[in-house]
Amino acid sequence: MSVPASVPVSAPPRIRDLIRTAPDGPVPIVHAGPQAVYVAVGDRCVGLLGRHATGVPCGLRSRIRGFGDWSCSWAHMAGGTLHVDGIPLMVGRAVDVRVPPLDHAAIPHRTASPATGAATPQAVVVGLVPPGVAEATAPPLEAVVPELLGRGTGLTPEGDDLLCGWIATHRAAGVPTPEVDRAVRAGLHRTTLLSATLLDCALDGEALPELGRFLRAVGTADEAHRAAELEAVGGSSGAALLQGARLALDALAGDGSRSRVGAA
Amino acid sequence: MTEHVELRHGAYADSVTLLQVSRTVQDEAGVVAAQVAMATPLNLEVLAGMGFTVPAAAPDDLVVALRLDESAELDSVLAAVDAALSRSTAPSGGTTEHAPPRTTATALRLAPQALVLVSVPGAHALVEAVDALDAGSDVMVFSDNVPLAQEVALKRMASERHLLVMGPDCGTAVVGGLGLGFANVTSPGPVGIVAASGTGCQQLLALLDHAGVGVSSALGVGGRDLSAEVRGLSTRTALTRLDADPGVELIVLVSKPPASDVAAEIEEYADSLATPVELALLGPGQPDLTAAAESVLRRLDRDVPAWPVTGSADAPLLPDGSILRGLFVGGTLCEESRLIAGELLGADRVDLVDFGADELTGGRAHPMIDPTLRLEQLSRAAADVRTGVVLLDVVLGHGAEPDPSALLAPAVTAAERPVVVSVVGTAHDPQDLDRQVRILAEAGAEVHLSNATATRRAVELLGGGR
Amino acid sequence: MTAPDHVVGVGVDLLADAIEAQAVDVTRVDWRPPMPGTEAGLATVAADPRRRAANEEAVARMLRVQAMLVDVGPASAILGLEPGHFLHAGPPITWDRASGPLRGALMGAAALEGLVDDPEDAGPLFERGQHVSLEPCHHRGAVGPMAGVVTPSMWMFVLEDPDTGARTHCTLNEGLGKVLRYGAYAPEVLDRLRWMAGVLGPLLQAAVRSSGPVDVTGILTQMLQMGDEAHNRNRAGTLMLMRDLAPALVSAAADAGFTTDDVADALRFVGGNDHFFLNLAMPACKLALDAARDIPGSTMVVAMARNGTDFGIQVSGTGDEWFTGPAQLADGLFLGDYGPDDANPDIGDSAITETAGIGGFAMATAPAIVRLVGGSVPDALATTRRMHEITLAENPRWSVPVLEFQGVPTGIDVTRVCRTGVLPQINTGMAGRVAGVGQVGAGLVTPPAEVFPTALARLAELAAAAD
Repeated sequence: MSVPASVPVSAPPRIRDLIRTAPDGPVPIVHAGPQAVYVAVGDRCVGLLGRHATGVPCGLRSRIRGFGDWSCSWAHMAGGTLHVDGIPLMVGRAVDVRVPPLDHAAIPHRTASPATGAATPQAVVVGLVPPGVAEATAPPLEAVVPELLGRGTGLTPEGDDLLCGWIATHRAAGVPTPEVDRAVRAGLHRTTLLSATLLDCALDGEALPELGRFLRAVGTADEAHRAAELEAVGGSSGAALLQGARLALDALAGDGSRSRVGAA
Repeated sequence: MTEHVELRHGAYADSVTLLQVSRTVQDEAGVVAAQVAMATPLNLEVLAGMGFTVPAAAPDDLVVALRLDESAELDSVLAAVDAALSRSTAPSGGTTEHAPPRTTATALRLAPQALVLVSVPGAHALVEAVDALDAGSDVMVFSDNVPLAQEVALKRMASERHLLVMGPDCGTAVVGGLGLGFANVTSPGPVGIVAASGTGCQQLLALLDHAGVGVSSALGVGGRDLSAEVRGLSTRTALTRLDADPGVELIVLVSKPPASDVAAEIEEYADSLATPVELALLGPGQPDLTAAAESVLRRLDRDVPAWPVTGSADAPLLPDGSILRGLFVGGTLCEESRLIAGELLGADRVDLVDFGADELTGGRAHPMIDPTLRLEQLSRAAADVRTGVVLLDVVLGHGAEPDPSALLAPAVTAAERPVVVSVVGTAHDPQDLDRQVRILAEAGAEVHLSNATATRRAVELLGGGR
Repeated sequence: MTAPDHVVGVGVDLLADAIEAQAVDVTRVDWRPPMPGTEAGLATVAADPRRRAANEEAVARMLRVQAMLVDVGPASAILGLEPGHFLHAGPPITWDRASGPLRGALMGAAALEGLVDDPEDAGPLFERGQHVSLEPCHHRGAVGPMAGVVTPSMWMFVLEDPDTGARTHCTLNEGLGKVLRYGAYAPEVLDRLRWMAGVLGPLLQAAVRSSGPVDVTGILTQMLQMGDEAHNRNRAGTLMLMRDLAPALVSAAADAGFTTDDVADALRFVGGNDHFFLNLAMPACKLALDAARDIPGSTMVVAMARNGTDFGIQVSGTGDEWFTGPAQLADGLFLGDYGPDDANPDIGDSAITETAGIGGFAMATAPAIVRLVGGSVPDALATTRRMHEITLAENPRWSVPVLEFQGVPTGIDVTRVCRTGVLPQINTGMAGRVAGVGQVGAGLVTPPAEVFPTALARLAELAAAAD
């Protein structure tokens, strides 16, 4: 393995446009891992993803096998191109990161508990809701957004992931969620830059490919397989995304009634 | 002046590689002319045109033709030829242990789910494409000159297996945003295209991109797919694939008018899909590509923008200049201009050449890669006093020349006539659309995004417009 | 639709470059024009709707075969050979075109059968041809190494596939050096053959009949992991056969009327002949390949064989027809003072091992003998990898440890040979060109290239007729 002269990448259109117009100069490295490097371009986090990295919707996707040979010590913008370690990342194509349109009629009608409880580790979800909240009296989701934002650990705290899943699923169904959106936007500063960027993506209907595949499979024989695939993403991110998506699906199936977070 | 012509048997390299080798050798000191090419009939004609005498040769022979001035040493130039050839044909791995696969079948053992892109000479394309189908892969056949009967056999096989054959002679495809062949960089969006025409598809991609409408996939099917013989076998599969894509809201089918009974079958099939299908059929009495793009925009409830025009064709018309000379790299663009200009000016005042036509590409790289023949013809057109207006197309995107305008610009200026150019490209194409347009405009050309408006403008400059 | 992660590009490199620039993996095919004159035939055969299923069937049938050694006996009893009847290696041939080693073996065998007293006197017998007949081993369900001459008194292994009852046969291996199969016919050569018919054969018969069938395919599986490629190296296979048969050989000898000295001689002979197992590997390969014969539309080679003059192949989809060209001289190392001028062109049915995916095709598994055939270890690895270019499948039973246990390249595809120009690689022994000399060396050889386009043309003709 060696470090190449330039790296071809594919980019979500919004990231492509962001980079193309970003001013020249150094950009800070937010996080460098074995499979992905994240930098801050303006107020957004942009990832350089290796071939095995999670396909976050704010990432430049490459076929790099790993960053073991990279120093990942500096990054800069020059002429509309992002460079890491001085290596230009050449955007060769756009990649669609939007969730697929979800046919409202296709959402199976079901109650929250069995649908969500079965596949989601309780520990992930239980810690996200205010203690002592019973199902019947659980507050609507927008009321707990401030508590969910930034709740959890890591680059993408579980509370944010849950919100991402919930919001993106509503975008897929074409159902606006102005109150939650407003509450999320107001609290973006309270979480990590990557997580804030991903929430912003979700508000725009952008999400991981695994979430898109799960939504496409809802109500089909493939649903359980796709749910498991989504759940396997990251440490707990996938599980929280799935939890959020299922809360949203239940709400959407229940004729638009509000998600109650204690439902899990 | 020394001339050296030799034939090498069993020394194959593809036409693009040989173009690069020829260029490398051309740059050697003392080389007046150099051509390293496969001995296809077209290349032999080109060599004869360059004044070389080539002994009887088969198309699989490699010809090395050199003309050297007194300062050059034949041996050292031949050494340069060999070096350039061996550089270009050295397997990427280098060791015998990990030699690259020799057939598509063996390559697919290493990459079982891969899509296959076939661009070998047409006589050999079927065999590689069948390897793809045998392994359950879709295949794009970029190669031209594939016999019709082979196309039918290939597509029947694919159809039975629910696999997609794009082509033969498919210059352009976009699969989920991945450009194959000569493809423009698109943005994801609601439109899916099925195209029996490469540059027709590229014109649509360019216009829709300018209007802010993304195209997720554009599946080429080859120019003969809707013929009475092939009967839309690939078109059906392509329509089915796009219909199954939840992101596609509107399918556009771009083709010359199909054989009439095929048209009925395809329309019936299109009606059976859940996704609406807009037919953009090209030909006499049909809307041009730009009109088709506008129709797509209206159907999607989008605004139709003014198609951009940059620069102006300032050079005065010559007194005897009455003929519209069009030199095209895009076959469908050429055809579109012929229809528009022919109707407005009459056929005898319209002289258009498609440099991508089969008879001008046998064993040569496509003019989007190798501009030599068109540049030569352009200087001849400029020397002809009857040439009134020059009409050109420049097609950008993956696979095309890195900087086509830079090569054309001096010729545009030297033409000393009104020159109208359609530059077909999208905002994110690797050549930088804005820059390409600017270079040509600065050279004195009037540059359009729409080939149809470019053609009408050229006609208008000749006084034939309405 | 989502973009593919991987594209296979065959043809113009620039198009592959353009795909790589879009962050997609590209595997580039090193495409070159096919053998001259094969374009049309290749297209016809590729488009033959029977081809894919026919080849899958051919491979499946071949891989299903289990070769068991079930009996040993004289050719007269087993094949019904009559006095004057001579089997030989390779495609059909007449005395007038026969090479030195084949003539030598026929002459020796004529003396062995008592048709002449002195081998040197046998020439006129064959020239007249009145009381003798020549026939390829392959036409009688048999294979013979080198000259491959079989006569009624020679003892043969009998291999059987228990599922189908199909059988193949091969003589007992005589050892190396001055031996009949290399065209030697000195008195000691004939004495050895008489001992093999009088002692070794009957002892082995008694042993096999009392121990029960021996799993030859299973031994092949193991020996390929022990450094044998089962053509030029059969050491492990030979020892495993001894292991399996020795107890029965000892216990059955007395009842069969043999002394302990006879048993010791037999064991010493087998153990001292590293090639003893070759004559089991060959019929095992033939048994597998015979199962793949006669499948209309299949382009798989089912036999490669040489008679010292011609090299012939047979193909599943073309029945019993032989496609022949001149046998080539092997490239390799010579014994003693012998040199290239002393060597006869390629001879023997032993290329059945390569046809079945072992021998030269499994060179990577036998680094110990790469020098014997004039190669290096990297060459050996490259050879086995290259043979995958021209074969239809991998044999899951026969695997090569050093190549991550990849199965051996199996089922030579006529179309793939024509497309790539890659010829099957055969490991072989070299016979002296003069009758009576014996072995002069060992090396590597390929079929004459033209047999594949000829076979392809016939496949194309049949495909067009079936359309």
